[in-house]
Formats: sequence, structure tokens, C-alpha cells
Amino acid sequence: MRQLIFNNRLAGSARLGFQRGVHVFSQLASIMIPVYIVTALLKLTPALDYISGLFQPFMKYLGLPGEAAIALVTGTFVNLYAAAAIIAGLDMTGRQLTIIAVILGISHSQIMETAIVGKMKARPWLVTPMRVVFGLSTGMAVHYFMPV
Amino acid sequence: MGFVWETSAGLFSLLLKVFLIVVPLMVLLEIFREYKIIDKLIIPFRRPAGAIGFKQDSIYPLLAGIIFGISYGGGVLIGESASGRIKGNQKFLVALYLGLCHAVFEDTLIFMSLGANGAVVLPVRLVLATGVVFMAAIILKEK
Repeated sequence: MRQLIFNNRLAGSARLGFQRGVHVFSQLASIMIPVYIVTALLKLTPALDYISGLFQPFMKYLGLPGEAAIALVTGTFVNLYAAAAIIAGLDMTGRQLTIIAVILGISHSQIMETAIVGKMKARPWLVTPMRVVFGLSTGMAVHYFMPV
Repeated sequence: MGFVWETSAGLFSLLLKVFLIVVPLMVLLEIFREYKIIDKLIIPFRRPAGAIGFKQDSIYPLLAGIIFGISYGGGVLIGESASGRIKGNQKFLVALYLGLCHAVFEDTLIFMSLGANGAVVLPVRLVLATGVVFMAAIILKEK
């Protein structure tokens, strides 16, 4: 009898968790699928190159080479793997790599992650700009304060 | 054609990963709740999380997000907020913390593989997220 109750409790809570999990998955999938496709299409357009061009002159304030702009913009809009692929092709010092890692660690995949924060109903209009501002300002702080 | 194939493959593997992480996280959450394990599990985190401004129900999604990623922590939070356990300001604070600092192992390893100093990248993110949320919680009077 005890065994039966134990099994019912375990199976019951596991089943409830599975149902909740599948529901949450469907919620996430419903935004991830369109956002993923839009982001992939964006990569085909010259939009990211254009935005990178605008930011290139400001890279020196972060202690980064001008070409790093394309990695920063790609990471911000697409994801870290796309940014990493670009960074791997650039010639950057360990110090510069640490700075760009701090910025992108804080602020990346913004199209997808803004959509997820929106789905959480957790004020994406505040979270996303705060990430961008804190990402850049923290990167700048690391540039000015990190020895060597 | 290459584009369609690449995008579909990338999307499929992303969704598979989300399913394989989110469903077990929710199953564990419900089992933990049923056996009241969750209360014990979060004991070591209660004080620090409470000092930052988090309520008890926010801790599990927060930990899930810090370890696995914002989608997973966010997913758990979507499940929890549907049941009314986590509300307005707490949802924002969890999203803000996770926005600034999530998937700490995966992200740090990506950058370290490129040659960045992980001993700088990870602590900077943790300290920033903690400080910003601490301030936000004061402003929102969540403490």
C-alpha cells in the first residue's frame, strides 16, 4: 500500500511536470521558430554590415580594432556562435578578446532573447536596452581598468 | 537551397535542445515540489538571493537560467507564472538578472576557446547582474 502511494505520487508529479514541460516547450517554440527564421534572413541582407560600418569609428573607445564592429553587431543581433566564427578570423590580442567577450557575454542574441523576455511578460523594453548599455559600458570599464 | 537546409537544421537542433532541457527541468521541478525537496535544495541560495531582492519562488527559474540559459530559465518562469507563483516585479528581476548573466558555463567556454580570460569574463558578469538587480529591487521596493 505504502509502495503504491509512493509510486502514484512520483508518477503523478512526473506526469504533471511533463505536461507543463511540453506546454512551456510549445510556448517557446512558437516564438523561437519565427524569430530564428527572421534572424537567419537578416544575415543574408547587408543590414548587419551597414550597422557595423556605423559603429566602426567607435571601437577605439573600447580598445578594439575597427573590424571588431562586425563581430559585436553580429553577436548582438544573431548569437555568440556567429560572433565567435567572425572573431576567430580576426587578429586580436588576449586583452581585446577579453573585452569583446565581456561585452558580448552581457549583450547577445538580442532578437531571440528579447522575444523570450517578451514571452515571459517581463518588460523586454527595459531589459534589452539595459543589456546593451551595461554591455558596452562594462566593456569600456574593463578596457580602462584592466592592467595590460 | 543551402540556406533553407542550414536554417532548418539549425532550428531543429535548437528546438531539440530546448525540449531536452526544458521538459526534464519541469519534471524535476514538479517532483521536487511534491516531495518538498525544492525547499531544501534552495536553502543555500535563499539568503544571497533574498539579499539581492528575489522571492523564494524565483530561485529555481533563476538557477536554471544561470546554469543552462535564458530560454530555459525563462521557460520555467513561463510555467511558474502561469500558475501565479511569480508575478510582475519578480518576473522582471529574474529576466534582468538572466539577461545580464545566463548560461555561464556555455558562454564562458565559447570565449575561452577563442582566447579570452574566463577569470575576468565570468566574475564581471556575475557581479554586474547582482549589482544591477540589487539596485533595481531597491527602486522597485521588492525588499
